[in-house]
Amino acid sequence: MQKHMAIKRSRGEVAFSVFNYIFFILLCIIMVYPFWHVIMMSLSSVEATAKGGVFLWPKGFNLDTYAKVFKDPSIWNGYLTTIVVTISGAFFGTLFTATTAYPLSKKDLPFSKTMLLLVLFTMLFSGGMIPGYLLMKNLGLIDNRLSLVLPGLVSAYNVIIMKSFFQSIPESLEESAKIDGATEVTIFWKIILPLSKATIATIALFTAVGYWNDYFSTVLYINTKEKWALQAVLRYMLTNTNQAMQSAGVTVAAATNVTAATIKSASVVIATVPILCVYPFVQKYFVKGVMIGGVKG
Amino acid sequence: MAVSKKAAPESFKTRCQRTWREMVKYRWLYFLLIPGILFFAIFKYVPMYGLKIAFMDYNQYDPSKSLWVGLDQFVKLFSKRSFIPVLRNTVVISLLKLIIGFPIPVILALMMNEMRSLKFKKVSQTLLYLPHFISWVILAGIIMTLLDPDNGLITQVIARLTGERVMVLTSPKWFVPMLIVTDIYKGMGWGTILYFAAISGIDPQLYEAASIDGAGKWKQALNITLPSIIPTIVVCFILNCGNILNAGFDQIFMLYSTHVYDVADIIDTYVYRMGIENADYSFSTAAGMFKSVVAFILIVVVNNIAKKTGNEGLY
Amino acid sequence: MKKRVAALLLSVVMAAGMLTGCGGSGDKAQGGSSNAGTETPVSDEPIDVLNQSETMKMAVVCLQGYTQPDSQIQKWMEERYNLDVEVVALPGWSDAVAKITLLMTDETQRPDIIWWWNMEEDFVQWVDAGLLVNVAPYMEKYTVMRDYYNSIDPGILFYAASDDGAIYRIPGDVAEPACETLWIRQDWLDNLNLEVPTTLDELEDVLYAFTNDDPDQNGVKDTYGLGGDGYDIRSFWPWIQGSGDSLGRDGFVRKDDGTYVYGPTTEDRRIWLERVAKLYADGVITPNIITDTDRDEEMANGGFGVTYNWVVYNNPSNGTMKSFYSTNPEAKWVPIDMVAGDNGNPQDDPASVAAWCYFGITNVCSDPERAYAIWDDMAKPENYIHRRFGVEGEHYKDNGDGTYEIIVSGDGDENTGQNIGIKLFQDLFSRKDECNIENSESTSALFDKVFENSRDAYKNMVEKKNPAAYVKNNELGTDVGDIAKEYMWSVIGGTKSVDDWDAYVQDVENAGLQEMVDELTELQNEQAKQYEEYMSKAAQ
Repeated sequence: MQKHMAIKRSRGEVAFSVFNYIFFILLCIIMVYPFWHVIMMSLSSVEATAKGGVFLWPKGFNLDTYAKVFKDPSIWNGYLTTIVVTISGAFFGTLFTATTAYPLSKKDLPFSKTMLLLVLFTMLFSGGMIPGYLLMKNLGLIDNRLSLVLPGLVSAYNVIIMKSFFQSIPESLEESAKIDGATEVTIFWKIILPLSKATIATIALFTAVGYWNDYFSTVLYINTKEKWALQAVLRYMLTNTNQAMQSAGVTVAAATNVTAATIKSASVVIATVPILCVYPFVQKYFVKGVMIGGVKG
Repeated sequence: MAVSKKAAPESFKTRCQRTWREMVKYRWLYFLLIPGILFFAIFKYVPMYGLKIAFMDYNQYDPSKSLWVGLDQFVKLFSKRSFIPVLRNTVVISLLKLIIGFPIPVILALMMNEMRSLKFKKVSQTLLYLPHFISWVILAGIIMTLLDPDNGLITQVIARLTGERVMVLTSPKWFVPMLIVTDIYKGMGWGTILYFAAISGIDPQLYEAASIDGAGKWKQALNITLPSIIPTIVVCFILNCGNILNAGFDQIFMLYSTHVYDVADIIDTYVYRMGIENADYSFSTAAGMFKSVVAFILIVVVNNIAKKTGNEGLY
Repeated sequence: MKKRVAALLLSVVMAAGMLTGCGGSGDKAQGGSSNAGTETPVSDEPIDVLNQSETMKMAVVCLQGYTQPDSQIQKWMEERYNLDVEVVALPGWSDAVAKITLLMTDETQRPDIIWWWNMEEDFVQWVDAGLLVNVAPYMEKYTVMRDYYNSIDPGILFYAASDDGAIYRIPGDVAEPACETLWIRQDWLDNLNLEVPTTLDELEDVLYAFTNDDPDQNGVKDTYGLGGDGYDIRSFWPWIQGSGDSLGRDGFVRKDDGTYVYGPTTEDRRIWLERVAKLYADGVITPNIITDTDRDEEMANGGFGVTYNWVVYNNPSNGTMKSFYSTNPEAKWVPIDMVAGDNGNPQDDPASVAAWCYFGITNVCSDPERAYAIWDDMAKPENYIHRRFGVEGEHYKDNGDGTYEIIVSGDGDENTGQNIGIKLFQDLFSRKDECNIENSESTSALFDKVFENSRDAYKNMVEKKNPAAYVKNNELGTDVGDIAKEYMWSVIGGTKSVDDWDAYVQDVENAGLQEMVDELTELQNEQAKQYEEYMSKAAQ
């Protein structure tokens, strides 16, 4: 990086660089603002949210909404379920996506193309709600948290994306290992996976977000309220706000500091913040990958 | 498959033997495939018998009372008065999303790659991706707050600038552009990350060689970065083409209202409303199957075009 | 090669079909074994639900109300009736239908008592498949619920019953015969020295004054005349009833001569639509009344001076009004008489006599008669009050003069905090008579008033005993309704105009309106005959 700075840059490049930074700063502001707005809403007084006018800072700062929402035990149960489901789902999902995509990226593997088509087919056609439910029932997984993990493990989309990444890895890297007598499993584990950190991070992220935002599996497969995923709890709150006011334990007499609007805002924050905290850890893999390119380039 | 092509003059028996030898040779690859195959077989293909419902008048509470009705459900779908306008809306909205939204992540990824400050790169990437974490239910709530006809921030800004109070959510003129913009807003970080991952896999030696040859940054981006991620771009493009009849149910469902049915009612929302009144499971399965068949054909066609033009394609 | 792939795909799908064929046959056996909905087992003697030695398992589905398990009231139920209760909470309004469908499809998860609303086609299929128990014989033996409903309106059970007299669904919640009234900000009227409006024209003058003359005297033009639930035609009820004989309502309406018309294409509709559109264009109605907003939220936020809204806002314990007053302590909402329109017969909006939601006992219930008897016992006034309002002295106070004071509300902190369970199974039988002790005296009087004031409008109302039988209406209804709704809201919002009225009516007719009217007329006439028969039988 430092070396690079020393290289003379043309005027056009400098101008572009300036533009680039300004552009991204603006873009970031646009991306962040709605969330900033929601956070400020959730921290504002009822009057301010009702009358509007919350733009940059909370008006009539109060934390009552959060205090009330977190009193609802289903939020904590929801967090627990969602975190367990997301971590296990993202781990096994990414692993199985990779083990499926790698063989399919080998063109000389007999039937690889047929299998790829079969995978692709599932992206377009699905049996629907009731057959999916009956399958879970026959597997004995109704009202079991496993039913939130299993159906979403591997998606055709991710397999295809990963397969095309694997295809871009030069064959030569594998050849030498093959000569040493390593099996494909070893090559996959020792060579391919370490080379594909950015890709794996991407797919893991995609899978994790999928699990994090999934509420419909809860609707379909879970009956007991303690096992509901967080998004289902929040959706319940958003669509049944009056109901939510109740389960959040809002005393009518003291409803002064909490309204449906602030509860909605707070639930957005509650759903978003944890995954934001995790994201930077995943992200270092992208940046590292590029850094190797950058330093030498 | 490639094997069988090459071996065209061979007899069937030798071809089989050859394939078998290949399969034995690659036995470890098949071993890796086991969990994937199991997963797709059990969780994707077993429930697929449900597709038969599209050809039935299905009664899930007492399947013995279900009747085979052939293509009746499809005929019912196509003969609906609203079918043509709804199909048109679906195609228009998703084509606009594709044409306008598809190139943006590619451009962003290329631009971002040119940034020198690692920290800045990291921060902007995180923020760009932010909206994707949020489901449409929640995002729609934010959009509605911002576009509130009375005190929404954007409404007020527009009113300041033009002196006119534009009600985007109920205006047939502004609703579709709003859909496109918010869709890009939500999705561009996602695409950018995908291309960014592809870029990070590019062999650094290529850049080294180029800069020795005196190629500037601009040339490097055009001649090395872009061509290297073309396979990813093509794959994404084909997959997006398969989505042409999915104009975004969640997004539209959360935001639309009768005011904009003319321009924003898509197949999914229409079928959903039909379903509310009639609880017709067979009908909605038929509508879904119609969409899938169109997607299947489109993917095959676009994939073939991609291959003819010398690209990798999906399969 | 393509062919081979296609063949492979096909064979996989077919194999999957065969694999799961066994799942299908399992369902069949289930349907067959219990296809005895009409042969309800009935014991000779009434069951004494308070003295049962065997503990009965009972899974109950509910959506609104208290859903936390093991509450005090649930335990009270369990001890009193020797039960093991399981509360199955539905996942919110938007996804509840999918969940109910699955619960009823799967005999291993099917609850003993199911609750639902709408889902008419599904209900018919449940009955055909024998999933629900006919409770008509039980109603003869255990009469609390039956008598309550008949005392409110005999039509309630008529609409719940099947054509053969069997009753597979028990009305869960029936709205008061009319439950909305016209509200006005008295303090704003006082500030501007205005009288309470009595005619529609006067009401419109008040709306303009509320918008333009700074009724809250804060020096800023930040108020509106009319507000209310967004995207809900009832917000415009004063104009609807004022335009004629309230034929301009949504859906079909019975005219005095016994013929049926489609409300949205009547002249009445055109008249009120034009008036409301002008008001909206002039800015005296809150802009977001044409978007989907929450009624309680709008009311709590305020900012307008007239609304057509719930009678229960009159109760001092009402949460929405409490949060409104907490931020607007100087405000004063008062209910006023409906304003008179052109025909001089002011009417309030009548509610449907048929229940909006039902519950039923399913075929997996081990002892349906006992389950019914328990629910009937819980419907007795003292037990109902216990389930709905908790313990006297602890959760509410009996003033001894027929009035009550709510100490712990169902929406209260203590209710969840101490897991009391007030409002448990809220929509599985609820009373709107004097057992609803939340209603203050003036609220009860207000209910009586709007009831009296809505009878003429009720005469025009179309009620359907078996909505699933209206095949044509169900098939064409979405299209016809879409056109009408789109036109109506676009006219109010100003993107369309009443000048296109004729083209719009033509559009609706082209979508098959006549077919719907014909079917409706035939089925409604038949229903009217059945109704008469039913009533004469009930009278005996």
